[in-house]
Amino acid sequence: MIISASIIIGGILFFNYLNKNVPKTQSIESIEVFSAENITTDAEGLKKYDRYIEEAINIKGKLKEIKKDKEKHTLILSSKNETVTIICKMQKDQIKKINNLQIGKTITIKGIYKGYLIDMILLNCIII
Amino acid sequence: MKKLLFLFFLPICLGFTKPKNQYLTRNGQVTFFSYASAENIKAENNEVLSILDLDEEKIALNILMRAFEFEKSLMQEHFNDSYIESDIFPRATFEGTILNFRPRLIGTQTKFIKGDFTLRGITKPLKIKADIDYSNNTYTITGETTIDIKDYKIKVPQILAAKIAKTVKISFNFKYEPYEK
Repeated sequence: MIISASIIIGGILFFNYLNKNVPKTQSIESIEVFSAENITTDAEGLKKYDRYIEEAINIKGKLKEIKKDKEKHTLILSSKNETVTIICKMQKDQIKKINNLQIGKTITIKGIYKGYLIDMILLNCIII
Repeated sequence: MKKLLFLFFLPICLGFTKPKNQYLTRNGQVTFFSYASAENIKAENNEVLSILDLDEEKIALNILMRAFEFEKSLMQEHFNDSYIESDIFPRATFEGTILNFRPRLIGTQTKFIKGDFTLRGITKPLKIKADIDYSNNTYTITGETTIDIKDYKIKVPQILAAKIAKTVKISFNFKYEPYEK
């Protein structure tokens, strides 16, 4: 009886482990706060942020653009260097907040830093 | 590294000479799909960087591998840590020439793009059929191709080898706007 129960509980736990969804950013603690104005480097210099890859970070910056493709929203923040922007792919539950945003205003986003191409890229972003 | 530098500096260098003849997207979409008997594997990346150079009739892509989004966190973890090894090989690139391209033709033209695809540091030739649409001074390039996972030495654990397809289908959709530095 105990063995059967253990197998069932173990099976459920393993199934949940396999099917766990990507966690919401609200549940992850940010490890660093940046101001976009202080990101002055060009794309080559973005390597110094590699230590934040797969970590949640906050970035405060001026909203440059909002891109919408079906249900997907991406916010672009300006940095001090014109050639480098901060691309924030938004979490799906942020639509209401995005609708209230204004270009040029300063906002703070929290997201998971993924690395860079010519811009810094964050996924699962939320507005805080 | 040379390819990466090419992607970084191509728009800058060309920008000084013929700014009207290059188009850029920072939000290109690449999705991949792999059939697996237990559960199909699908992921999407909406942050692909691509440059279309009309003078050279060339296209270049730079894909950040960690920017692929999965529904299940375990799949995402395995993709980055075990299969792609994103820490060691953070980017995939493609550089190709559009064959018989008519750059300013309004409407859609179907063309082959012949070039080199680099994944996990391994470069292989790739020929892709794509639809190229030009209207309102924007270009949209869409298409799909398949790659063989063994060509890029993607290691699948033996226990899963029979359950995972040997090829991966890759679809793409890029909407380019004029690049003005």
